[in-house]
Amino acid sequence: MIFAVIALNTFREAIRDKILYVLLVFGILMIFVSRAIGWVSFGGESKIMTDIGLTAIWMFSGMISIFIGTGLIYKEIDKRTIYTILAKPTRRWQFLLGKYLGLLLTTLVNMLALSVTFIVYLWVCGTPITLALGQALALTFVEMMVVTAVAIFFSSVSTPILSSIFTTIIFFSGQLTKWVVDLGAPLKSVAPWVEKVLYFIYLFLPNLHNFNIRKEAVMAAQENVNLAISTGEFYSCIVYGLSYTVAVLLCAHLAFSRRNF
Amino acid sequence: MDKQTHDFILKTARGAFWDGITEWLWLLSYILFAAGAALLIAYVILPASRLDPDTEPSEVLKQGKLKRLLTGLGCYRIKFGQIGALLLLFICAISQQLGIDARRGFIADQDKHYEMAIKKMMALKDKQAVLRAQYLYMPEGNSLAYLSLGNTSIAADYIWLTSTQYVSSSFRRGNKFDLLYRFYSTMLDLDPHWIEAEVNAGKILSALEQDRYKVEDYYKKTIVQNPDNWRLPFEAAHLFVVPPLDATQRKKYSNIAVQWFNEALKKLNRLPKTSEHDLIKRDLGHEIALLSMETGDLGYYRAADELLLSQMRDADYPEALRSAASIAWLSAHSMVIVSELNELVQKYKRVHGTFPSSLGIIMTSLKDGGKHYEADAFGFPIEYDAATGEVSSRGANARRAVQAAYVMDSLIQYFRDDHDGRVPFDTTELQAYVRKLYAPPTTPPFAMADALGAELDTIQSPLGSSWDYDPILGRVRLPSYCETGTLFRNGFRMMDEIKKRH
Repeated sequence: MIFAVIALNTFREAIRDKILYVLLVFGILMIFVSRAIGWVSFGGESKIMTDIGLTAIWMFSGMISIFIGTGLIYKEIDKRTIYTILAKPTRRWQFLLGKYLGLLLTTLVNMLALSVTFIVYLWVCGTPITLALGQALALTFVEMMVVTAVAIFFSSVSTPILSSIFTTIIFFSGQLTKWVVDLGAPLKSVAPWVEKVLYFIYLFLPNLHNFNIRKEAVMAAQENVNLAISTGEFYSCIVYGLSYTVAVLLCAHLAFSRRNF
Repeated sequence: MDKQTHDFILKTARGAFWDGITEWLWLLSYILFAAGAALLIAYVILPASRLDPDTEPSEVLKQGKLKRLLTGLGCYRIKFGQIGALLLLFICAISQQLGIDARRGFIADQDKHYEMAIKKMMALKDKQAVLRAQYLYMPEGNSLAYLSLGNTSIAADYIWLTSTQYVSSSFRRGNKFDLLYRFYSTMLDLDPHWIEAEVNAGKILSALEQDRYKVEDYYKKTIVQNPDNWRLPFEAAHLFVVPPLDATQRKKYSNIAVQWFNEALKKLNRLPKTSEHDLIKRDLGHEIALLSMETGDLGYYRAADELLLSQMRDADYPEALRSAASIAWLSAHSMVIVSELNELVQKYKRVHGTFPSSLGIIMTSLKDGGKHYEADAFGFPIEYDAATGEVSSRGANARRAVQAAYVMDSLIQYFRDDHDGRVPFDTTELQAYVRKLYAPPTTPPFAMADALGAELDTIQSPLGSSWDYDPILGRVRLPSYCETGTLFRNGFRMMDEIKKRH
């Protein structure tokens, strides 16, 4: 269980990072401010509040995964601390997995803090709360699993700045992949291959929009319904997320195992 | 206006309260500038160090008082230079900031600048430019979906909040609401299932948009997206419940309203049974029945007849509403009889080329001798005009006359209040007064338009003749058969029978 030890140490290291607290404070502030934005509206205050809260959790969790995750492995290489770890009977994959799990634990703790604040705040404000919100939060965590894996992958092959840029691009474009295919539609008659290429890109890129059921969850909560999406679809999204995460971690392992320090 | 008030208004109109601060800020800045400049001058004139290495200490003592003082301050020279430069830089930054504020203004000023720019554009009659400027507030639906990284729900929130801002600012400027429909359509594209906002949007549109059909189009779009929701057709129906400005559209409006209400009722029936739904269904049924009587369509009259009859018999229905249903049923059933007879008269005319001289001619050809056509539901004989071939129900007309008489009495009271207790000489004077009172853009209350028609006719009564107006008492008189006890006797009798049966 060496990777568990590494994971725990990574978590300890991450929670000492000031950026984590800055993001956490901003996330909590955004959740609190959501009520004020709701006041401006004519009707739909609780919907706006829930919308902003869920989006804040998603956005700040994503930022934590990106900003902390992208420097994680490079820092070890840069400070030469990796030599002391790999000199011990530790395999590279164990190191990588430990780092990944440590970061995931950090994201989870952060998400839990934000989610508890969010749910308590909703409850205090008398906004409807149902299990549908739990579904949305759970899928946001699965999304973070994928994003963290991508961040670890780039961190193991590149510098922190480049890793941040690449991961951010993946994080953004992953939300919009369903529109990537549409981009080829205007060129369908002139260059039909464009659509095929775009479709390939669509399949290759992580479709992070799968995990975005925030709209459905908010509507379900407003109508006191417990399921934002069907249980089958929910599990399907989880399986997609897990398989994509493992695939990206494997790629990271392949790249990292060939790397010379 | 005195100068003080004028200055106060000018100051308030600027919107920012910083003006008061800048008055003493200028004085402070002059003092700081002077201090900064003095410190820099000191930096220049003070010797670099306290003691000049080439000067003997004994010679220093021989120097004058001023020179000795300057030499003594030499050790602070660098600090003087630093503080002086800092003060001047600080003042420079403040002056730049004030310049920027003067150009851009604060939030309140920015809003005013924007409004002024819009007004200028409107003065130039450049409508396209005005629209373009307003479009800045609202990106397209698709681009919003991209910008929000697929978080379309939050993008819809943004559009909804922006539309609220647009409505209030347009209202202040007295503009038309050209973009409102687009705002709501974009919102619908982004979050098609946000019913609360869609209903509110429809209400705002219906308040600001004269064209009912345009608003109905918006509701149709929302209904396509939410086919199982009953509230949307329910709200769409309400668009046509209000009497139209054009009186000829009345029947059409009622027809459309009944169709939408029926649609809402169908959707409600598919939902699980709850006490709240039951209550809404009953209200809907009552509303459908009443509106059906305005449609002029036999099918709807029959539906209203059945609906009201079932409401009268419904033991779970509140007593007051059952009584109201019984009175409404008298009209509905009378209108069924009138419509059926009208159809028979028209049929007769198609065959014989003329209208029958009396209804008896038609009735004899019927199986039961037309016994059930002899009187309306109120118990009055059916009236027939052989010249125009028009059949009418005295009871139904009397009921309308009773309602209209209440409205007439209220209007006479308004007139009296406005004319130092004097009552109108005749109904023509009253009509002139009422039409002036409710001249556009003021709209008459629903009950008034319902009783007197959209043209607010106070001369002709629903009984087919002019109102019997008493210019001394200032009241309209109704024939004795319009007395409530007589007019609704059949309804009361039926209710008693039903009660006995229960």
